[in-house]
Amino acid sequence: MEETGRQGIKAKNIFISEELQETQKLMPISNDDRERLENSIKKEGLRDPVKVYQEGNRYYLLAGWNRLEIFKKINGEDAVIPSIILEGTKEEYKEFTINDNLERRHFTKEQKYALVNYFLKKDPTQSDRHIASKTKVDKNTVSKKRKELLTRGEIHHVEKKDSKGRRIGEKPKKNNSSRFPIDKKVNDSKLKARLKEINSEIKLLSKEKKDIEKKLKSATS
Amino acid sequence: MKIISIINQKGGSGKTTTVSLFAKSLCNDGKKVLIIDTDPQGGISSLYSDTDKQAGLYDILIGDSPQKELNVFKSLVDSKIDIIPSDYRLDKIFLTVSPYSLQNALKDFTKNYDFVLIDTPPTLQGITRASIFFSNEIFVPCEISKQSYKPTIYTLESIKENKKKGKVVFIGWKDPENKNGFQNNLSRTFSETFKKDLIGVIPKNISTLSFSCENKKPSATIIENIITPILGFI
Repeated sequence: MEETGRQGIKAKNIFISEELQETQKLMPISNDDRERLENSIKKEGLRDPVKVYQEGNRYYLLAGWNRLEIFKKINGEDAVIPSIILEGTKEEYKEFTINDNLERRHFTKEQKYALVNYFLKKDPTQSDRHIASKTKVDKNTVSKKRKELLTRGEIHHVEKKDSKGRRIGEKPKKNNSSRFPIDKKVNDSKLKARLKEINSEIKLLSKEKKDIEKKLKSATS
Repeated sequence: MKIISIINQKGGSGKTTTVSLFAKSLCNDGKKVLIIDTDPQGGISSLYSDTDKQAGLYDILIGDSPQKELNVFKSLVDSKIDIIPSDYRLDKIFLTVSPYSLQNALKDFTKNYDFVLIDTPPTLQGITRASIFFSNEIFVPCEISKQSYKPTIYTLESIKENKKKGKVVFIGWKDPENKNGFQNNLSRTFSETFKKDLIGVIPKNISTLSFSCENKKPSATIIENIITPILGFI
């Protein structure tokens, strides 16, 4: 996705893109946010340009549905709204409509869950951690939602494999002797005792060092 | 259909005059021509259209559809020439528009013409880049003066960076005489530098200028000295 230009566009000439129509309902703006936005546009004008792509001689909105609506309400349909022109693939446009809105909204818990479900259904191979960071929920929540969708049969189980095709994400079987046996349990008290020994040794040695230095000094003078 | 841009980063290098001469020459040859003015100064617009009309390229770029009598007009010069005019309003956006803006907005509309001629502002950014993207032929008019030397080199290089080729047209060329002297040396330098890109010469005199600006039937000398050579290299 690339920004190719910045210019004004007559507000009534901007059409809502299919991509945004599909994803916007997942991310409604709160009444508070909308009021704040309206006041800001009234007072300072539109600070953040809306984002569009161009196809033929038409412009399609990717981000800023609320800004566009409020702008029209305040300035009229024929007013020229500051815009950024983007160029990318259909898939990138769709991704963008979600990501751009995610960054600027405050969501309720239910809205976040709906988003998590949306992402899981869209691409179940995305990791819990990835979806969690996008939607700002806990990783365990995503995992819970994934299980729910799995039991309802709305998504398929994804077998995770690494680059060599080995299954990952499963607990190793018990008695599975590793090729490099490492004693993972560290004996704390043993280590602490050894640390004590080392410390006292250092003390003794530094004392001896000082004594020798003293002796040498008095010998030379 | 041919889309031709007239480009040079040097201001006053003869872009608008060249566009006008091209348009009239093609029209005289029976071709249907569309002029697109992308210069916010609106030079070619003031020659070819009624400046009281308040719509044009700016309105198309902000999303209106190109439409005859709405933002595309019959020229005052000849009914075979149409023009999409520009005015100062374009100044707000001409440097930052997308390089795809012109081809997106006008690709379908321009199919009805034999030739599209694009007059450009003295820059290679924004709308001029869009003109380069949209064109299949680019002419670089160049006066033989010290101040136009470097801008013309820069213009040719920029066109090349956009994977197109600029064809140089010398405006007011005089063959250097076989002696030294400022103008002779300059002519030799230009001839040497632009040798491989040079495609033609347009004379610079009162009759050329008045033919480009005034609405008159071309005389036999104009046809011989201007129109025929121009049609030769377009």
